[in-house]
Parts: sequence; C-alpha cells; structure tokens
Amino acid sequence: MIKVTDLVKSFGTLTAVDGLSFEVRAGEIFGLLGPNGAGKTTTISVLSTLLPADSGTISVCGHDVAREPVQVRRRIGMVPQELALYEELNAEQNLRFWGRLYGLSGRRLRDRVTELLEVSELTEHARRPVKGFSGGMKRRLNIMIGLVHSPEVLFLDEPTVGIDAQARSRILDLIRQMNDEGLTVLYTTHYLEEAEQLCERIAVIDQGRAVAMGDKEELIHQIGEADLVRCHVPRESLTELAARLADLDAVTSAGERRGKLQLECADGAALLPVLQRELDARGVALEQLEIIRPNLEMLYLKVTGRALRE
Amino acid sequence: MLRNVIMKDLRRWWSDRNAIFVALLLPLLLTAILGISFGGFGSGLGISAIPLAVVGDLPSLPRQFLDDALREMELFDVTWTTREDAERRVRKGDMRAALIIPDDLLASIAEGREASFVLWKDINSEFKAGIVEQILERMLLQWRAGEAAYYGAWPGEWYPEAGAPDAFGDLFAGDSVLDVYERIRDGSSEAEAAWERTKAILDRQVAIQDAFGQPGIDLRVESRGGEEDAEGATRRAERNMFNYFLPGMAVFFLMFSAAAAGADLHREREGGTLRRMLVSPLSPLQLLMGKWSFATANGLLQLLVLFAAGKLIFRLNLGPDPLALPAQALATSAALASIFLVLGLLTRNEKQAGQIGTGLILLMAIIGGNFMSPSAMPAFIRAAARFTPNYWANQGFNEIVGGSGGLGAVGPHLAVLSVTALVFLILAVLLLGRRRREGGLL
Repeated sequence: MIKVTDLVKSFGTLTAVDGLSFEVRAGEIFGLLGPNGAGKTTTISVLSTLLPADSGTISVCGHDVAREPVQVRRRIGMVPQELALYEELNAEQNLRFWGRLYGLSGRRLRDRVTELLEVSELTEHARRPVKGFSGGMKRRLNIMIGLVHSPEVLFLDEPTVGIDAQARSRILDLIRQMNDEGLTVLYTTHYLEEAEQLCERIAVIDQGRAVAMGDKEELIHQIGEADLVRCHVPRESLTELAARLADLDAVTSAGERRGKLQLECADGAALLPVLQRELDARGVALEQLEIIRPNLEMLYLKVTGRALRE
Repeated sequence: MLRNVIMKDLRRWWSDRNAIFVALLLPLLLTAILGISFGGFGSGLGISAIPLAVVGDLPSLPRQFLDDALREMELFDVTWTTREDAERRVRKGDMRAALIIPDDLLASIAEGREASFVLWKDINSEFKAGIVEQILERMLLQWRAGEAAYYGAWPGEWYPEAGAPDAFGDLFAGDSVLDVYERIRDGSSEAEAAWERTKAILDRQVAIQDAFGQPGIDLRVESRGGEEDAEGATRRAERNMFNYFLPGMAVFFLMFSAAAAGADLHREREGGTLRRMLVSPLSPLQLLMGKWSFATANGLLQLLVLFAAGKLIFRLNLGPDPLALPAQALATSAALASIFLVLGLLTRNEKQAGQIGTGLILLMAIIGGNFMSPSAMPAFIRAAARFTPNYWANQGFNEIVGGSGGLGAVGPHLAVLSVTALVFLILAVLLLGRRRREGGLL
C-alpha cells in the first residue's frame, strides 16, 4: 500500500529524513516510533504530498507521490498532530465542509456524516460549536474528519497528544475498529505503549533514520529474549547473593544495579521459586520484586543509547 | 469547491461577535458621533467638487483666465457648455449651478458699462448652489477691488483735470492728508505746495470710492428646477454630515476586516486546517481564490450593510445610480482583499501580520483621506494619497453620496481599484507558490 525507498528530506543544513525506507502492507497498522524531532512528521508530510522529497521514491496506493499527487491525495486521509478543526463551527458543519472538499454531496454526504458522528459517539453533540468540546471529543472529531471521504490509507500523526488515558483508550479502540474494516493506517507516535498496543509492525526512527523495523516480536528478538528480574534486598546480602545466583543454569547474568539485585534470565516467572529458596536459605527477607519483560523501550535504549523520552 | 470554502469562512466570520462589532457597529457608532459633533443633518461641508456649468463665448485668453480661477480652488467641477445644455442639466440636477457670461462682457468692460453675470441655481441644491453663489460674489468683489485700485493709482482717467497719471511710488510715499496738514502747521512746507499735495491724495481716495460706485460686473441669481422635484430630497441630502463621515469610516473598518481575512491563512496554518486542505483535492490556487473571494464577498456585504444602515439611520444619500454603489463596494473590497492577502503571505505568523497590518491601515487611512480630506493636506501627501487604494475608494464613495456620482463618474476609481486588485492577486499567487515550495505553508 505504501512503499518508501531511500527517502531524504533536508531543510537547509538540517537533514530531517536521511535515507528512510519502509513498506506498509494493505490493511495493517504500521507505526513510526521515535522521539520529537526524529523526522516522523516530515516523513508523513512528504508521503501526503505536502513536501517534495529531496531524493528517494515513494508510492502510495500504487501512485507515485511526486508524479501523481492528485491521485494520492484522493486516496489518503490525514489527521495532523494539531486539532485541525474549525472551532467556530459545530461538529456536523466541520464534517460537511471536509466532505464537500472531497466531492461528497447530498444524501451520500449526509449519511457519511451521520455514520461518523455515531462511530465517534458525537451524535448528541453534532450541533454544538466545537470550541465547547472536551479534548477527547475534539481528538475524535479530528480523526473522523480524516475519514470522511473513506480513504484507503489514513495518516495519523500523534493523534493522542494532550488527552487523558481514558480518552486515549477510546481513540485507540476507534482506530482498531477502522482497521478491522480494512483501513490501512500509518501511525506516528512517541508513546511506546501505544505503538506496542496498536501497531502490527513498527519502524523505530532516530535522527531521520530507521534504526529498527519489524513486528513487535521481531524487534524484541533483536535485543534478546531475556527477562529482567529486579529484587530489593538488604544491601549487605547483595554481593553474596549475586555470586550465588549467577551460578544457576537458569540465570544468564546476575549483578547489582542501582542498589538492587538484577538477574537476567529466559523466564522470570519460572525463576521465582528458585530465588525464594536461595533467599530463605540465607535468611534474607525479600522487600520488593519486579519482573521486566523485553519491550520497545529496551530496544530503543539498545539501538540509540538513550531512552525514548530523553 | 470554491463556494464551499467561501461559505465556511463566512460562517466562521459571522459567528464571531467581535468581528461583527468591529465591522458593522463600530463604524456606524463613530459615524454617528462624528456626524452629530460636526453638524448632523442640518449643516456642514460639501464633500466633493461641485458640478458647475459655464456658458459664454469668450476669447481664449480670458476664457482660460476664468477657467483657471474657477478650478484652482478645487471646489468646482467645471464644464463649458451651451446655454440650453446648461439649463437642462441644472434642471435635471446633474449640475448644481450654471454661470452665464454675457456676450458683450468685454465690450462693456472696455466702455465702462455695467455687465451682469447670471447664475442659475438648482433649487433642490440649496447648499452647494449657495456655495457657488458665495464664491462667485467674492470673485467679483476682488475684480471690483482690483479695478478700484487701478483707478486709485491713476485718478486722471476718472478726473482728467487732476493732470497726468501719477505713479505708484508717489502714492506710497508715506504722505497722508494728516501728514501734509502737520507740515503746514509747523511751517516746514509752503501752503500752496501742501494744498496741491492734499488735492492729489484726495483725488485718489475719491477715485477709489467712485470706482466702487461705477457700473461694473454684477451677479444676477436665478433659480432653476421649478418646484422641488422627486430627486430634490436626494440632492438636499448633500447637507448631511453623515454623508461625509460614513464612507471614510466604512472603508477604514473594511481595511481591518480585509487584514483579518488575509491573516486567516496564518490561523489556518497554525491550527493545522491549512495542512489538511493542502492534502485534499483542493489546489493551492483554489485555496487562495477561496480566501480572496471570501474576503471580497465579506467586504462587499459589509459595505452594503453599512451603507444601507446609513441610509436608514442617517438618511445617507446613495446617489442617483443604483449600480454605482455596489460596483464601487465590490472594487474596493477586491482591492483590499488582494493587498492584505499579499501581506498575509509576506508575514511569518498571525501576530506579525496583525502588527504590520494595523500600522499599514493607520498609515493608509491618514494619507488616503479616511479621517481628513487629502485636499487639506500638503502637496506631497496629496501626491502620495493616489498610491493608496483607500484614497480611490473614498473618492468614489464621496462621489456617490455627494449625489453626483453615477457609474460613469466613479469609473476612474473603479478602474484603479480593479487594476490594484488584479495586480496584488497575481502577486499573491506567486508568493503562495514560493511559500509552498519552501514548506512555508506547513
């Protein structure tokens, strides 16, 4: 559905996207994960014909973005990071305006607006000026506008910025629902949890380059499949315990990290009875325990050398 | 598609109560305050050149002299014509007055006979025709004074027995009758010489006095137009001071609306809707035309509502031609929409557009005559005014509310405004293309 090959885009001396390549399959939710300034919005801007690429080839829905921008525009929907709404107008007027821009009219437009208001649970508020909406309602309407002309591909650029957890959850449900109906989604975010929950495949972007790409399991495999077990035990027992546990077959490595005992193992849950036995044998009380499964945060840390939110 | 963009912006604009207040209520309020302060409905100043017909068969030199004298005050719009045409046009109200020069004017002057100018006044245009009468009276008085000064300098032409014409130098020698009398009293002057001197001085003074009493040129005033006709009420409206202030206020506040419409591109860009529109099938040119059309339609609507309200509230005169006002309003709105669209595309953000726009509006309003007629300003400002669109807008509207401006009369103003609109619109298209290529619209 989308194929990007060696995309480069610079602004003066700043290279925002530097040789990025990826492919989005029809009907999937593909995530571009990276911190602010990684080049996600620039990539979406080029893909949606807003900015010309310096080099590289991009095809969306089988059309070359540089040569056939009008065909591309008719097939894509865009949900920008900003709340791109007319706050003076009501929800229905907003949807109608954008629908007409895409050539919808009459009964077709009316039915589509009604459907989108229902899907977004905004029917009761359809005639209220948008300026009186909550942040979550505005975000939902923002997404519905991107869908008004029933696009084949939807570009979602950080669509959950600035809203509470409950509203975010509703929006993610909404996107899944649309995807279940066959919509292909390109989703940019700097929230790991969102990417993990929503996206089938992810490209991790840093400084305009894809530093890792694949489905969630593939990506996690790249950092190894070890669980981390962190135990809070009395400080005087730390060194002895670490040495003893490192000798166990189930433990890959053991050591001290920030005042805690940290164990790396294939299966953290299976290690717990063994760990309890060793502690009991030494009369050491376990104050706190944490099992950390491999995740994208660890991947990002591994491939960029820094945390995602730094 | 274009209609969709225009309707959307109109809905947004009309949902903004502050915008309505600034665009419609504030101009009416200021017009009311200024109009009442400066005379309201009852009295006041004319606001445009008064149409004056001149009839007479003069040789080229005196004709040129009279024509220059009438035009240099910038109060009259002088048309030389025939007696029949002048009468018809005064009766119809196209001319506020007609000056009829007697055929034997030059011969009468040469022979010292009395001659009469005749002034036909439009009965329905008491105020402006009255101005014509007053000014012509004053011109004739100046003529008479000049004549008296001539005979005072050379009294011999009136009193041959007084001897050869004297010289101006002698006249201004510092002598007066009192000076001569004092020289006789203190013995510094001989009585006979002093007497001769006194006679010469008295001769001049008597000559001046007599010159004023001699047959000269007078002004005979006649009314034309019979009973007040149906259009009389319209032409009487020229006395209405609101006619003077409303056009200036309407154009002044229209500039703010146009500036706000121009800056709307920044609002759309900063809000993300511009990005969304640029991803839609709407082309950048259509987007620009939509913005321009909205600003033009909005301005047209604003002006028409203001003038209609002015008609209802202030008995504003909307001129003899029903097409003139809409045409002038459309050309004005289009020109201002183009100019402020260019400003919007030249500035970086809404704040900058607002600050520069306000400064530009105030400057143009002062130079272009929204607060004070450019004719009351120094020559260089009068020259600069012609480069402001609001000058042409103000002049056109003044023609209309002055009661004399049909579509033909506002034609030059319409032409200038239309060309301005076109030139700046082309500039806006070029700037939009450049900004889009540079990513400046995102």
